[in-house]
Amino acid sequence: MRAKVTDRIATLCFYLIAILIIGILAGMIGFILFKGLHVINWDFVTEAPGSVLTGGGGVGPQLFNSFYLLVLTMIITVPLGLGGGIYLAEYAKPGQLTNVLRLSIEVLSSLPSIVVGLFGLMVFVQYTGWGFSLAAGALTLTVFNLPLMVRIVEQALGTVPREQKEASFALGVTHWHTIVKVLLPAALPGILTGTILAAGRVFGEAAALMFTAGMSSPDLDFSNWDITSPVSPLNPFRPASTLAVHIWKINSEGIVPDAKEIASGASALLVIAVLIFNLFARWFGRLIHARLTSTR
Amino acid sequence: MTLVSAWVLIITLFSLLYFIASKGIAPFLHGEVTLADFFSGNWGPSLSAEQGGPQYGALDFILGSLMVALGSAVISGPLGIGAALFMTEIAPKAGRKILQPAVEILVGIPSVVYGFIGLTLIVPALRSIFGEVGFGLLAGIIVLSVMILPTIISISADAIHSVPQGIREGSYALGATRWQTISGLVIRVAQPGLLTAVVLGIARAFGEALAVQMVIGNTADLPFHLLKPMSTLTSVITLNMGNTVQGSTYNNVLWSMALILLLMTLILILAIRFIARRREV
Amino acid sequence: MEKLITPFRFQPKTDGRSLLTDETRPIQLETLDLDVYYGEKHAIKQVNLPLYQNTVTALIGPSGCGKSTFLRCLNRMNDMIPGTRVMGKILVEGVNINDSRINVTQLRRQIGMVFQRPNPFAKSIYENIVFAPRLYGISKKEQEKLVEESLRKTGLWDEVKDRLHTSALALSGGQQQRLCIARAIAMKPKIILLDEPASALDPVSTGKIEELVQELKNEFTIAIVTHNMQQAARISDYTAYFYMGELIEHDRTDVLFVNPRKKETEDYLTGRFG
Repeated sequence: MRAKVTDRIATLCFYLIAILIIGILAGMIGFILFKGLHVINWDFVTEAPGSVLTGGGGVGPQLFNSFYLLVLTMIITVPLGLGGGIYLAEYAKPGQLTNVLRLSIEVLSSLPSIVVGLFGLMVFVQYTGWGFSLAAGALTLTVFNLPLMVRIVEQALGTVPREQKEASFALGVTHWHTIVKVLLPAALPGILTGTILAAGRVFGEAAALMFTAGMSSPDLDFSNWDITSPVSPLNPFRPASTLAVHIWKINSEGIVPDAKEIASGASALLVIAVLIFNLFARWFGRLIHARLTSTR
Repeated sequence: MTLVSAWVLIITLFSLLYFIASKGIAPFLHGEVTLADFFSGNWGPSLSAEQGGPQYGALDFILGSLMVALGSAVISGPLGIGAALFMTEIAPKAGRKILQPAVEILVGIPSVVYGFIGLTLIVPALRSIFGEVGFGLLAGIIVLSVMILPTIISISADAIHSVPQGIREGSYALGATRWQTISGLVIRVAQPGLLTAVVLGIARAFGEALAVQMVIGNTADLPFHLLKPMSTLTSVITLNMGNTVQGSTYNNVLWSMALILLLMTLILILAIRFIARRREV
Repeated sequence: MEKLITPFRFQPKTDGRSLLTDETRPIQLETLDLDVYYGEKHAIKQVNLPLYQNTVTALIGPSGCGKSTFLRCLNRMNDMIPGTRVMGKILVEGVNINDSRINVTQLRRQIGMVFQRPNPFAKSIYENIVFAPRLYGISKKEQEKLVEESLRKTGLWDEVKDRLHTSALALSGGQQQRLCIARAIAMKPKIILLDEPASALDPVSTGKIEELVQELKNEFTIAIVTHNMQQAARISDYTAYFYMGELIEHDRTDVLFVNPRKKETEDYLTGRFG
């Protein structure tokens, strides 16, 4: 009978662990929202930060920067990621090049983001002469987002049944057409879900951006659409602090009188964004899957 | 066409290795710092010459990084493997429907948010419980434990999934209980994968910067007291990279610390490959 | 095979053991000393086998005897499997298609294939059929005609004409397999290769596929792999018995099943095998 008792106790422990983890997550999200939600209002989301001495203001430019940087990063990462994923899933032959490529992906995706950030500082900020800029930030984020993206695409392609590929080949369709017209559409739900989740990670990244996109934002003129103007929000060669970097900066500097309030609000915004990314990825993946399999 | 991305990745990695390594080695080549100084515990970049300075010993920080990483793995390893077993062996349905999404959200929460929670919740709590400042090794370990949980859970779950079903059935058919099956067979067969999960967790903890920096206290002390402030490699780099002059010895030494981080990652990846190779034999 | 490059022309070989000397029908395809290696494994050994025009040839034999491997050589599907080497000649209208200079995609348009498990694309019924023809450019009107024609030939038209634009995956297994055949014949191939097309289907669907094969031979040359000897006897004109990668016997089906010349064939047919 002792074995049975031990089994019961073990089972109980497993349930406790599961409950603990769910509890930690729920507690964290609850805490962040409880602390921050009351700070968030329209002004907080749209206005620029107030002066260092008076405090007040919002995180409008930072929020915009986070999104804009995400878009820039994705513009670089998605095509390259598709290319790399397709290469690994469909063309790579066993050999030295493939081995080196797989090792590169493994190392790049597990490098500390601060190290990647320093590499970005050296190459994209200093060597190119761009200074702290959105472009440098986007390229730096690409360094560790690209391997992730390549893996997502490769894995999604790997889940497409072999039969689909055979069917297409047997009809005399070329390899490339098979990839574009059969394999990629079938892998699309996986690719999209993965991409949105990766986007969520880019959105919250800070350590790699502090020394690349910078920790400050110029006074932006949101009516200025000339991307060469230094005050235009769209100029990719201007410095830009993102929401995540902003949270770190006000917390570590602590000069602004209402630092805690702003950090609470900004953290809540970040968490809400992450939750939205996550739910959206799930919903979208399911939607696409349903559309591809049951109706046209 | 598709080969372009492959080369981008390879070239990026090698240029990254080259740039960080050359910059990290430079202070030693130029005789600014000796290796012995760098690996000593004497940190005093702003000490004047009369006080024996400036000193650039990074040992406290290297040990600090190791301590928080190992400490969080000690907590997170059993918890993460337990959660993975829950998802795969105990309650697969609840695991897939509740725990799996929870893990995915945990991955997505930005590290500054973890840091912020540490700063506003954990540090004050530790302060009121133990009466110390609250900042320090324990706060860092707690925050990192939660951060590396998802890594450990998902990789462990993959490893346990790949244990052949027949092994479990054979065990149950012999009258073993679930716990006997898990502890005696499943864990043993999945062991290399579980080890990989913990090593990757350590890698992530070792390289995490902002969340740790926000709760660790940031003093140059040896990390041998749970409740005393200390520093890690990442926290020193984050705090000082922007405040030191380009080309100064102080700044250059920070790059050497970054090189240590890079080497540590490489060592851990080699360890993972070694584990994987042993599994194939 | 006008679009294939024509590196060599061979005279059809007539002294191989599988060629039926009393046969007067024209040969659509024949293999000459075909060998296949999977890495070290010698999977097909020196096979000489003709497919006669507008007939059904059944390939039978125990699992692992190489019959599917052989079939997959005929439209170069084995190219997809790394480490496979195919040696010897496969002649189609005098052209050796087992040649690196052959345009494989063009070849596969002329030699269609249907697989063991139905594998429609995750697209609509209509899209499944026009998918490949469209890549070679046909007009909208031709597309619609092609869809109706192909579905009528496979007996699916009446069953699905009202839901052409719904997902093919919603069809039953038997319907999916007939759709795959419709998709193959929409390319207007000369030869259709069927790899155990009914083995995953219920008896009723199997019957429909068998009927269909009988009808299609008027238009196409057909080779079918089957593990079901009754099926081979019911639908084929010729039967080839494979064992351990070798072609043991090849003859008209009525002859082979009643009067096998080799003892191994007889053992297999009477179930005294292994």
